[in-house]
Amino acid sequence: MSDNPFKIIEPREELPENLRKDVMGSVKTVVLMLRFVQLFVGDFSAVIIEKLSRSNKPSDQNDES
Amino acid sequence: MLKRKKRKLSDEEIVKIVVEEKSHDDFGILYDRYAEKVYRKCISFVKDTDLAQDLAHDIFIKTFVNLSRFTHKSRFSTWLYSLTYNFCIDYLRKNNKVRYESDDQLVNIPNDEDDRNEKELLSLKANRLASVLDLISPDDKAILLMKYQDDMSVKDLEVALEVSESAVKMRVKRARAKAVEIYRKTYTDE
Repeated sequence: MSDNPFKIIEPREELPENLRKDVMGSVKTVVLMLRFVQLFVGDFSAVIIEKLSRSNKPSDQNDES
Repeated sequence: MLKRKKRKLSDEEIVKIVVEEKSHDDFGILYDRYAEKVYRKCISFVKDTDLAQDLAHDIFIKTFVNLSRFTHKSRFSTWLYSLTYNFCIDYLRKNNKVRYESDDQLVNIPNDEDDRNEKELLSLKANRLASVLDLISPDDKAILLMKYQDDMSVKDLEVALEVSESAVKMRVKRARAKAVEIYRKTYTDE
């Protein structure tokens, strides 16, 4: 074992097995929330801009005007 | 990419994949590599396994949410440990679980005195060192653990603490001096 007392005092408790399940479950929820937010903030605004855009109209519509 | 192949990638390569794909499965690889370390660091600050478990949970969620802010200027482990220490320190502060003496008087510490402090600190009995670390400020404790337990270099500490090289050296010096001062006060029979 190392003589460095800082290494000696490092806790040795075992990691609880259920922690992984809890963390990964919460991370899954975070991913869902991020996607939900993106839908209404990121992607939704992009859809609005695309719909309202004048410069990106299909060329046949431009021709009609 | 196959899961088995991914497990051979570096932490930093896994981080890139997780950020790009928002993949919680790949985040599990980072969890498996570091969960025990993070959990044990939490125990060393809060001395309670249930609370340490809750803190470790929250630290990994914060890590996942902030992963895109990891700038690759340091190793991922340095960044994660820094986040862990800061999270524990904030928890202790918010819950008023820390009372420690101000170290305002420790401004200029000559180099020879600092050398003696370091030797004394590294020659302490483990149980006494543990007691001393619980009596100094959590910030001082964290910086000493980063240096002597995690073997972080000055460069690592610069990135972790987001301060200059000279500020890192000053903080380490002050933390050493404070720990030695508390040790001498506590164990006056030595």
